[in-house]
Amino acid sequence: MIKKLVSTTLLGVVVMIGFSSQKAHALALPAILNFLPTVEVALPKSEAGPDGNNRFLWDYFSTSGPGGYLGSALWILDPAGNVIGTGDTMVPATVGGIAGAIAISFTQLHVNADNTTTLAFQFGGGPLLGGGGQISAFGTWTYNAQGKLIAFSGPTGFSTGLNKGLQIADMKFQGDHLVVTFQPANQPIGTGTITLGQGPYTVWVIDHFGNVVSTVGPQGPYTGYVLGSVTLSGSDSAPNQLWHWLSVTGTGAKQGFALSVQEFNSSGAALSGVVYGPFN
Amino acid sequence: MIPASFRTVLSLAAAFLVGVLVTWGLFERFSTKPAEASVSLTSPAPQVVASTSPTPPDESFVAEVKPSPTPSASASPESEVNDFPSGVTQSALNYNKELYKKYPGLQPPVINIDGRDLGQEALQRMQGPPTLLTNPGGVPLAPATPAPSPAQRSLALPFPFLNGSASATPTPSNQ
Repeated sequence: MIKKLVSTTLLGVVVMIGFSSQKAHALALPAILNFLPTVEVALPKSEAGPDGNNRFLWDYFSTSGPGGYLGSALWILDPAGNVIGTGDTMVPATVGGIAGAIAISFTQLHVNADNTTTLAFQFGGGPLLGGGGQISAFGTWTYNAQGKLIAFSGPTGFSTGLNKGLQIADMKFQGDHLVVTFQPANQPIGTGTITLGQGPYTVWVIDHFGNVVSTVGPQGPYTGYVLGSVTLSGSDSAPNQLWHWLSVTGTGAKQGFALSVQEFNSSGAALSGVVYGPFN
Repeated sequence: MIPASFRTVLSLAAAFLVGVLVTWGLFERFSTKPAEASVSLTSPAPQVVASTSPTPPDESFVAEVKPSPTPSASASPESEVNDFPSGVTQSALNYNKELYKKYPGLQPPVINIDGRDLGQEALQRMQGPPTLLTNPGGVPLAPATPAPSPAQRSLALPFPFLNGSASATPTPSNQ
């Protein structure tokens, strides 16, 4: 009887261990890929500056006929919600937008450290938002704290066409800079799958007046690699770029994801490179 | 009176339960749980709706038409520094000419240095065709074409490859 009790107790122990969670070996994926590129235009276009005032956009859409984007207007509110200024120039309809179940203008808004407001336009909704497919060009407008238009740039892009053209694969503000990533127009983006060997990539960094202050590329394509994120460092007037690549290395049980990191100066010269992984 | 066979079954079931409880207790003691965050259920106080409202454009909307809010407070007057409109600095004009030379046809931004109304110029540029530059990379390599690794091109410094770690937890290490 004692033996039966002991063995049954141990049976309970074994069953519990069997059903409990255990550490298991797994692949580690560096979370540097953007599975939702160019959708920043769908974010709220409302931001407060260091002065506490909020800048936001009114997007106008047609309510009759086939519908469509008609343009945007900038408003400036004080912290109490009082309108204290408006943009002196409205964004025209040529920027483009989506009018339907969702209504989005193809514009990103950022308030800079000096209380100016920069609007970045992507001409084409991008693959995830439709409205024209690929993004062929970008432009910027900058208003001062009172809503006066003080600078504009673009629209600028690269020669279009599937065999020798470039599309804008990603475009977003990092701090007061706009980071624009170009890749060949015949390569898929935003498909939700990791496609290795894409490129070559070219990345531009634009300051809040629309000046191009850093350019790197073309880089790649590299077998087994895909470009993930690009971050900035160094001076605001000539920032360095840190490129994060995802690669698949090794074979069999040693196969895994690795992170390759390259640093370039603002003129595109390589400064350093290092690889981490794969970890399994 | 409880039959002997039933008592045996009860004893074995109790022993089994003891084993499960002891093992579960050990796992609870030595496992790490995430801290539970306290959630505030206070809803924001309702805000007074502003009396101003935008004036949306008519269907024959022209880009120059602006919404007409009724400002309840005046914006602070523009101040000029170095005779530039507020917000414009000398650094805005000092663009990197070497960078622009890399892309023939690339134009620097238009900066308002004299306080004029930039609206018409900006609209004309925006509504015109984009400036299309020559693709700096030419025709890209087909994905099926083997391409050299970054260790073999583009980098001036060695591109060390590390052996895979046997640890289940990624532990970054570099040389």
